[in-house]
Amino acid sequence: MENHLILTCIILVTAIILLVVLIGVASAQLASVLERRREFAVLSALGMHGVRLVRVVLAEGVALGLVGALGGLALGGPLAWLLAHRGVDFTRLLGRSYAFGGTVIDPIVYGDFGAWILPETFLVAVVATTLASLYPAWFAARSDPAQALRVAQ
Amino acid sequence: MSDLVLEARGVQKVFGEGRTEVRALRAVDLVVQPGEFLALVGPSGSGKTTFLNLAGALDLPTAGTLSVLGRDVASLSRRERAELRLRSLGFVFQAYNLVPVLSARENVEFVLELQGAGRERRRRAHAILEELGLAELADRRPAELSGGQQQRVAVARAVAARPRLVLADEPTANLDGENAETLMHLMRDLRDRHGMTFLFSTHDPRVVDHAVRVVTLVDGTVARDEPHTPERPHEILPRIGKARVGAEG
Repeated sequence: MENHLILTCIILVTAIILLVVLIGVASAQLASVLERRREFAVLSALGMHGVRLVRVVLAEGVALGLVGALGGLALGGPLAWLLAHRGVDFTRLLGRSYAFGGTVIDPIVYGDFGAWILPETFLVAVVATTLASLYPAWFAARSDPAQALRVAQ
Repeated sequence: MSDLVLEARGVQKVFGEGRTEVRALRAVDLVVQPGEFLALVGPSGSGKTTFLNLAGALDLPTAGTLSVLGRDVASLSRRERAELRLRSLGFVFQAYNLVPVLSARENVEFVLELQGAGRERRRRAHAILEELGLAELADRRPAELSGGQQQRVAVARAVAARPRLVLADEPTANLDGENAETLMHLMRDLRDRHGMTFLFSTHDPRVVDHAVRVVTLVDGTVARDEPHTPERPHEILPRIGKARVGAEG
């Protein structure tokens, strides 16, 4: 029961973090698309149709996801390794022996680190940024090229 | 199917609604034959750019019928209009609008790639750049080119796929007199050699000199439509000060 509760909390926190990331990436991508409205209008004038424009923005999203995953691993990987191997010591806060609800809790908290972290990080980053790029991509493809050229003049 | 390049009948274009409504085109009737070199002139706000956008299938008329290369623009889907632009239309913009990270050759190749030209696209891009005297500049990026050179690359990009109709919106507006002359000669040569139709808007009397036919738009309607010959010099209205312009036909 307690394990189930902990798992639910972890999933909930992860989902909230992912949602925040999705909204952040989507708004950044949308701002980038809006800034380049004229470029997209020119591509459209040259004959690039909607599906190809969608692909351009999605490709940017995937590239962003890959770069983000690499950066995240480079910065967060060593920290996660340290957390997994040395843990975070809460002895000063909790004392040497701490019990909650009849369960004794180790005051040194360890993280989880393994080979799975590479594929999982890449998968989550790429899928999340691709999903976040869907609306900006659709927006770029549906924009009115004549209006974009007019506004930019 | 009609042989006309463009046929506009009672074309209207209205932007906005109610108080913000702007009638950019009121009722334009215009027929363009293959191989014409037509200048669209008129004061700012007369509807030149709006008409070019409609002719380029970038926008749809509010009323009236507009046929481009025998196809009713209003009846085409977004994808069909993109396909029409890709296969049969070329665009030259006032601000060049080359892709900054690509070289001159790559900018031209880009359109050919969109067309699915495959491996031959490099050879075709080189051929058109050579034809326009740009072979030596092929590997330079737009930032390394002058305004005149950039606009010539933009023309190369516009005609690389051998479109039947080339639309140019104030193509010489950012160029000095000499570069404007060079560009117009280039476009006339392309029209003479390949039979392409050119439709361009301008405020520049020197550019109008090169036109074979001049259509004057005033307040969204065709005020005048006449051949441009040395015997019938064209008078350009308001913005350029009613200067009488000589012509070479």
